Amino acid sequence: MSKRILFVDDEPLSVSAYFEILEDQNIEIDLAEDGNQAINRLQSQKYDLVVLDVQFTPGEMMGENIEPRRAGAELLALIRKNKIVDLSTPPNVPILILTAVMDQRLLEEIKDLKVDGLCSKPIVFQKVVETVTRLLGIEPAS
Amino acid sequence: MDELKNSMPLENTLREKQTNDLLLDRLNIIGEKVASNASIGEILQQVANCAAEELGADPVVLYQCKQNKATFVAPPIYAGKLIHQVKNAGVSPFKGTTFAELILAEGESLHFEMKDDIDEHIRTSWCKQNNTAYIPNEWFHDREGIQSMAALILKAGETKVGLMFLNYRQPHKFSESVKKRMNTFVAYAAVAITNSRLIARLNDDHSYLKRIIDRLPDPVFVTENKKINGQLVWRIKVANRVAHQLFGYDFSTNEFADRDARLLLGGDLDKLKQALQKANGEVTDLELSMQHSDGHRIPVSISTSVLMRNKENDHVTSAICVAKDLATKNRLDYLNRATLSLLEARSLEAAYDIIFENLNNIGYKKGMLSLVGEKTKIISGKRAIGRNWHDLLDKTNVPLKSGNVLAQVVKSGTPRLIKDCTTDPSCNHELTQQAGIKSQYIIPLKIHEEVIGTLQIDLTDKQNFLYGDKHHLTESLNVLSAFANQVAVAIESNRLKAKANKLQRSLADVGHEFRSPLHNIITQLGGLSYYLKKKYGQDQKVLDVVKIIEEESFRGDRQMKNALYSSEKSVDSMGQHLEKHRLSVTIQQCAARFQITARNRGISIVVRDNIKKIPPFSFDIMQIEQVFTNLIDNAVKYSHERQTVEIQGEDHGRKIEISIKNTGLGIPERSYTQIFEGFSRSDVLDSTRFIPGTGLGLKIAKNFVEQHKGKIWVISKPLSQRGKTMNYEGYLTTFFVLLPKNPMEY
Repeated sequence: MSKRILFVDDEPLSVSAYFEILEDQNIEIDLAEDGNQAINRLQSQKYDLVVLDVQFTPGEMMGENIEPRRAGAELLALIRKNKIVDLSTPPNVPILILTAVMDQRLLEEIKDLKVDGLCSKPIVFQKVVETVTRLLGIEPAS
Repeated sequence: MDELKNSMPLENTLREKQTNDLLLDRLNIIGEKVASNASIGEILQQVANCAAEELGADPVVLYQCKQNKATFVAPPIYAGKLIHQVKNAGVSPFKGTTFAELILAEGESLHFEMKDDIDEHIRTSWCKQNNTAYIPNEWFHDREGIQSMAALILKAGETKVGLMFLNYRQPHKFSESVKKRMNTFVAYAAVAITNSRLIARLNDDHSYLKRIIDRLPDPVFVTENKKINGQLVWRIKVANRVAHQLFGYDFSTNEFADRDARLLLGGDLDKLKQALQKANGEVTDLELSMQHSDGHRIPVSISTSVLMRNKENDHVTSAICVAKDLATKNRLDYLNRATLSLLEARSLEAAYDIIFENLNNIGYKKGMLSLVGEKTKIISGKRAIGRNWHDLLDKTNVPLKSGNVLAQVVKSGTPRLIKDCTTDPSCNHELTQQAGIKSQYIIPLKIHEEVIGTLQIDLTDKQNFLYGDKHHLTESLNVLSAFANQVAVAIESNRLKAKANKLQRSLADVGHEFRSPLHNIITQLGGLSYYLKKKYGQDQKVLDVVKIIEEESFRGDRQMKNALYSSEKSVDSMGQHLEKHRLSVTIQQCAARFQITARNRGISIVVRDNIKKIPPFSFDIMQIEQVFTNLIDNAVKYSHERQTVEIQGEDHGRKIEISIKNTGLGIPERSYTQIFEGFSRSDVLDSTRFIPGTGLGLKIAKNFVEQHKGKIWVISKPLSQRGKTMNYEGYLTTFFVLLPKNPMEY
């Protein structure tokens, strides 16, 4: 059965480069550009991996007064603490964080919520591909 | 200063902020000196040294004006290096014909950007002033090779207190921001000098009067009018402190107060009076009040009845004088200390709080601070204290052009004492009457020549003081004016700080905005190379092009990161995250980013195997990555073609030492420390090619290494003697980084 990944990033350009190489390995990819879309996706699909940016537009479904600069950390907390109703994706789904954030305190907070990988931007392409395939338990593409 | 002149605006801004902060630190030290009663000579030397170091001038010559005379106290104070010894040092060189006296007589601060400008000023003004066409050839700037100078008049209010020459041995264009920095400095220096003069004078008076008072037998201070439930102990302690200061009694313990209060007063003052009268004593009334501040009791003026067993009126009068002067001196000391906290105020609002808290502590309970809008040119009330003044706050919006008394004070730059607002024609009678203000003192807040606002102090409840002893009134108003000068400096420096912070925040925002597309380019490149490989197979040329674009994008990102890291605030907010890593892996990843750049110039980057033997140890990977990326970047940039950059590591047990060697353009020993200071790249240039860079990389490297409690340094030696004559070419340069394996141990 093919694996399925959800990318959450408000800038498709920063992740779309991975799509072709991953699709070539029979991985299905969905993209959510804000918090609302992400929650809708997580409710309707069961994902094997979520690749999460830290800064994006949260949307009202994530709750009130969520700061965009830490929306990724908030979404991560919602998933891990099982706070989203009718979630099709399990709360312990592997999550990979891709971020350009330099704020160490925020990164610490994210790590405390148990993430399976954290890559700081700019990221060497191959490293992300390797991490994604490792987390999905498949052989990396050459 | 040279870098200032030639550098980019961004560098200017950052450097300026940095320098401003240092400047403030130094000014604080001077303020502390004043508060601790340092001598005027010490203060002047401090001011001159500070100007030399913080404004980059060499040498600095500082003249102190004689009081009420248009000439100077000899000799002037020097800071920095003088090539020639000063002739007639200690002997007055002032005969009304020196260049300094000319500037003082003209009364304007001047900036000479070239030597020609100085000579021109001598040819025109000096000759005219001295009514001669003959120009002597013995000038300080000729002798010392001065190419540019700023001649700055130090003014406290309207009084000229000094003249400072900032000399430079290169020509300089003095930008507006540099001039502004000089002005802030000069304003503060003037205040410091004025205050130390006031303190010196009061100290003299005090010691003179103390000698008289020493002859008084057994003085005793008690209070009689503020009896609270028959308990006077608290007031007595105060009185004793004053007595201690006046007469040198050792009342440092509370016992005196308790025992003698019981003995002398015991709640029964009449008994005491009778006893004293019997002993031939005399009772004289004095006024006194006390203030609490942060739990400390500071005698700001002296109050009480003085009981003395001596009838000589002269002695009693002297005691009163000393008491009053001491009160003035205490106020000044107190305000000087207040200035220090003012300069440290985190925001304008906090500064306003401190200003009024301190005015309140020295007995001025009501008033208002107004500032002139930089663009609107309207004087508007910013903070008021006292309910009636608070009501006036919103109504105070005075255009500078109007005839209102505030506008007048701003325009004239001189303080106004209004004893009776109901009759003074420039007051708004309706408003002042409504607010119940009868008398007030309005002081302009001046930074050098510019008035930035006014401080109004309510004197309505001080009618005795207004129409009492003139000397005392003048002295008190002088204290207030001196404080107002400090207030002005503090407000201005706070405004500058706020501006710098705002600029820094927007720079950080811009930086992040720039990084984001770069990241996308780097990611997309990965996708592109995958696509190209899939379609056209493995093609080294294509892969190289991709790699170059990738390296260049990483370079852009690195420079931006350096700029962001160079702001200490952003580094502070980042914090440090220590985790065990293999240093060899980090260094190899850093080196890999320069693969193509190095190969294009025939340079090989060699990471020696001994690094791999270093066991994993704790470091912040983001910071250390930046350190070695910057160091390898430098090594490659400054290498000659077809050379090797060699990276080695050694395990010294508790510490590890990494060295990065390259052969190429060397670093002169004089620049060994300066290159780590930011925006100051080595002054040695490659004659054949342009080497890009911002000069921030090594500063960041040093900052991060030091956060790991480590050390970084450089040694650069010629490979052969010939190198020395060849513009530092052919040098072996080694950067060393020493890192403790456990930074927490240090």
